[in-house]
Amino acid sequence: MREFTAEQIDHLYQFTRQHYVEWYDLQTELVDHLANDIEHIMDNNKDLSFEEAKKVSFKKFGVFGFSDVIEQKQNALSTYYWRLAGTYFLQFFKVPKILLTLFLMAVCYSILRSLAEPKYLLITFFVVVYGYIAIHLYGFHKKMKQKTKETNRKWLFEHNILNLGGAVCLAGIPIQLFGHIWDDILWTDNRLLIYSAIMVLMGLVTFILIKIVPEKLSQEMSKQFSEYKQIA
Amino acid sequence: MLKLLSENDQMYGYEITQKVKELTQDKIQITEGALYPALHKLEADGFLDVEIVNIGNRMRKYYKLTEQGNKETVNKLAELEGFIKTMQDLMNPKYSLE
Repeated sequence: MREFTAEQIDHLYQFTRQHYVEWYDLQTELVDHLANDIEHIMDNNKDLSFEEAKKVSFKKFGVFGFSDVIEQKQNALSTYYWRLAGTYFLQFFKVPKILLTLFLMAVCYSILRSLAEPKYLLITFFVVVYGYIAIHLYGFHKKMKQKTKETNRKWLFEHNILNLGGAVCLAGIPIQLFGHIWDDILWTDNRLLIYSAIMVLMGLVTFILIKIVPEKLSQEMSKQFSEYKQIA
Repeated sequence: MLKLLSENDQMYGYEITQKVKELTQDKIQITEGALYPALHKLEADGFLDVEIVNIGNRMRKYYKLTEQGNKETVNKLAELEGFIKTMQDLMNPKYSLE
């Protein structure tokens, strides 16, 4: 078995980048695969150069090159993001955390009940939550860009954090509630209870999606890649 | 892939393709475009654990089964055995007058 030089390995990283694999976590696996295969091809055919063997190896990924691998990896990361989110979310409905969930719902209910016009508080709550998410993601994006500039490395899982595992496209759903809340004039106890539950659930989901899951993913990535620097 | 991983402590992607080729005498080849999506899905589902090891001037991603992955392997193998048995019964039916 031959050993490739650091320049040849760098060349393979560049090659994956030229074929739209921008992320270091995915590039690393593909580079090792290509290097193994090129070694194998060159060992079986001594006349082939590194470049020629690389072309033979890349052809094995099919006509779409690495795009299937990229797409499936993104899907797998989103699945993992939601699986983690689901696990943490369910913890808030088990003893002892369920007590905290119920307590928060009771607090929201009492506050809403004490108000003559609960809709203003509800609208304010949604605006604050959306605003917080937007500011947080903007800050994360800025730090991510800065880190990419410094290290010249992008990480696919950070890209996934930025769109909250695909949850960003679901952001429109709670906006539908705005109209409902605004037009509501009959603030019955049942309705106040439902809105209290929505407030707490939305707060929990936001906290899990933008705080707990990204932290857990960053820790896992630091464990896997010693050169990964967490975004503070 | 799950069976291979259950028989080996840890394996990397290329090693899996080569091992499958070797065991099946080239009759089954896992293509590159199918291998990594499958591994990444198993990892996302919590069946595989990952370790990145530095080997000389490059890095290698090793996969190994988690506890959940071990259970899944047993289930999937039992499912496969059941399927093979059904197919055998279909191909070689045992006729009886009873």
